Amino acid sequence: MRLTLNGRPVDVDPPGETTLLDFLRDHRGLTGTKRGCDRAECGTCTVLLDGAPVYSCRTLVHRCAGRAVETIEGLGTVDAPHLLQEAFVAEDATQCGFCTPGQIMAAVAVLARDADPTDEQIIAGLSGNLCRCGTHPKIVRAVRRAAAAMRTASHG
Amino acid sequence: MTGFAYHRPSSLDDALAALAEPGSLPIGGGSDLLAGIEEGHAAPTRVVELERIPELATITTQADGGVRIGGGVGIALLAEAPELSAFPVLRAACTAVGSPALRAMGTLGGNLAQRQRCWYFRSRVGCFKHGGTGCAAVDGEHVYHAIFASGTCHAAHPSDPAVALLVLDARVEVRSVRGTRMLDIEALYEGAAENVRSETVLAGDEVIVAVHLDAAARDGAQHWEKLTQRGAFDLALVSCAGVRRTDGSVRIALGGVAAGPWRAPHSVEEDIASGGLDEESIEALAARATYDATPLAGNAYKVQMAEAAIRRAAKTIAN
Ligand SMILES: Cc1cc2nc3c(=O)[nH]c(=O)nc-3n(C[C@H](O)[C@H](O)[C@H](O)COP(=O)(O)OP(=O)(O)OC[C@H]3O[C@@H](n4cnc5c(N)ncnc54)[C@H](O)[C@@H]3O)c2cc1C
Ligand code: FES
Ligand code: FES
Repeated sequence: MRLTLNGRPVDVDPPGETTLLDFLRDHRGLTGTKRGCDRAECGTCTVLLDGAPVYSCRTLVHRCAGRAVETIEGLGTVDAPHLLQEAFVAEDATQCGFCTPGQIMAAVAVLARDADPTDEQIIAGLSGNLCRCGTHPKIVRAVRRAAAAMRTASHG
Repeated sequence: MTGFAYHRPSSLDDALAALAEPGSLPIGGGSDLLAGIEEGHAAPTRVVELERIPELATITTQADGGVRIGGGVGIALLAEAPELSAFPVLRAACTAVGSPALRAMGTLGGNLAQRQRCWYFRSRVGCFKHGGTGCAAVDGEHVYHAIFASGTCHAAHPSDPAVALLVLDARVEVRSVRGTRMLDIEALYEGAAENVRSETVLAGDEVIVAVHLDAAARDGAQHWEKLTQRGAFDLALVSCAGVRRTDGSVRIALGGVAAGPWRAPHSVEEDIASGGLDEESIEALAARATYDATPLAGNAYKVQMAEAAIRRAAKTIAN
């Protein structure tokens, strides 16, 4: 089977039971996607599948055949961070940081739907991503800040 | 997780043939099935993908205004589907499912066929549905459990869409190599509390190909609410769907209270439909609706929640 991983086509043939999370972390070394509960209850393993947020711990790799998977590694780098990543730093929206990759990927999906979301829309869009350190208010501020920066950027 | 093969069928017939072989199970998004495999409730040697089969992947509006929803259509898609604008109670129920990711992952068929989320069941402790004899929740922790007991198991069914489909009189089209059958959504969950292998009446090789909504269920007045502990990413303590059809008839259903979606007594629905109700009579009707409730020691609060939800539904859909 072939899938697109962070913009690049990848041909693989993993065993049927391989989850996307195991595939990313153990087969591809993409450890930015975190394993929290491993049972669809926390959101830290969130990645995008054809632009929609999914929990990679409960998604089989085979389900991704012919589709595009995006992880935090595909979003930006230390040298060239995505505006969302910059905003999370600027708003100090992480504490331990374990939920952050999932929060940011879910936020990408929120901003792809709506360039200027209300706080309610941001909160609803991130409602499947729990932060045990309680940084949720700062995360909402970071997403708002990123949204403004992205609107400015796209208006040149 | 134990090993299994993944089969992407080339057609519906191919899928049904694959499912007719022992050891095969259908998979939608996998968000529930993978849990079941890990927990030892299911042990397929092969899973058969359904969501890309054309007959399962589409929503079709029929000439008469009825709608056919493929069993593999995603919950997130249903929540916003323009084809369902005349069925707002279903869109609202789909919007209430879990979280954005769970809605993006889950399919309608998988949501209806998902297993109970009772913690005794999931952790395989002294559970009737996992090799035990009685229901551990009866003398244990059961704040989230059923208040209408209909058998040994006291788990409350987690599906929100099923509750909306019940008030829409939805019919479920089920197929296997042995043929096609149409089930009322109510019949899909018959015997759910006594069935060890599943909460539905589906055999292992049967697939929910589609869910049908009749034109007569379009529009009218429709109501949905879901009461939860934490407001999001949570199962219903109690959910309530209500409709007043354009012909004036009323249907009320609750989720979170029984082994499957639960329909209010017909006499209560008829009295709500007859209209002209004041505060006091609505209160009496709601109390009558829950008259047969048999809550456990720690979940009688759900009876009050159910009554309050029915009162609100009656008011919103009344005249
Ligand atoms: C943390 C959490 C919270 C949740 N909260 C909610 C909630 O609030 N409301 C709610 O409604 N649900 C909730 N769910 C359930 C979730 O919505 C389901 O896991 C999901 O809808 C199942 O869909 P799926 O396509 O992933 O099913 P799968 O996991 O693929 O399948 C589930 C079962 O159905 C069978 N199956 C799949 N498709 C078909 C078909 N077409 N015909 C026949 N059988 C089929 C499979 O063999 C399996 O037994 C929650 C789940 C989790 C993990
Ligand atoms: S690790 Fe996947 S949701 Fe928690
Ligand atoms: S920053 Fe620690 S879990 Fe969110």
